Amino acid sequence: MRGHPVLGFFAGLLFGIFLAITLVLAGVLPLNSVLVTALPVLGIVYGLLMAGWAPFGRNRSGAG
Amino acid sequence: MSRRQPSARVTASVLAAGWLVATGAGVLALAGPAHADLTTDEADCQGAVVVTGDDGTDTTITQDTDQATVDPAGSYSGVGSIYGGQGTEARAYEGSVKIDLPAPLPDYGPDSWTWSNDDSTTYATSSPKTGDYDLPDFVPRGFYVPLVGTHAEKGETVCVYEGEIKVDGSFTDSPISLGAAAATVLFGILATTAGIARRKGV
Repeated sequence: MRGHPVLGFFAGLLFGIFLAITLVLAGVLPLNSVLVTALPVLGIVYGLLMAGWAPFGRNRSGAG
Repeated sequence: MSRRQPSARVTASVLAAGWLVATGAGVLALAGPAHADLTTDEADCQGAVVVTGDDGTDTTITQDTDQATVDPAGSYSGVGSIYGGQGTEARAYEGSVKIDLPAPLPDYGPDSWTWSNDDSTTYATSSPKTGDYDLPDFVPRGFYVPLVGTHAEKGETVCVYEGEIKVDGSFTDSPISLGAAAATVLFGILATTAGIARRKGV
């Protein structure tokens, strides 16, 4: 992976957890929704996808 | 001759993909809250609580109430019975009511919301159970959360009430809500920065 998979995993997990909590607290997501469980997993997927894709700073070669 | 990255377009695409999670969640979550009331009733369970908010509003919650809205603070008066209040056999009982908050938030149900007796011969409340309440800030405002009441006879649960309660107020009235929103933004940004390519040849 060209990005940062460890960061992507943990940050994605926490992103999903807090997103689920926020949506529940905002009344957007019912507590019994399957998305409450799915969002942390989707967060991990997002973080790992970002780490694998690594679209930022690709033109940095470290030459400088 | 190096090919320049279309960085602006890529950045926009990445951010759009990232927040697709949030948008998708919001769209898919349009289903309404679950219907709920007395889910276990093995003793002709009856109960009623009148909640009087500091704003003067009265809300009555019974075993048949699906949803109720209450003020963040006020007083309550509750009664209940099993088997229609008929019976003479001495028995032990216990019960409680709590607001069942989503993890990692703790459930809220103070000791004053519990009842018990080791040797009772009455099957109905002889005098209403009264008290004051002041819901803490971590109980979210403005949306329905589960309210669960249970009653057990001789250690066996015979009544389970599952309804929903909404505390008057809005999303921004609870620091827990604001903290969760801030953490969402923070970790969303961090997860996005996982896409910064590592330097080669270092």
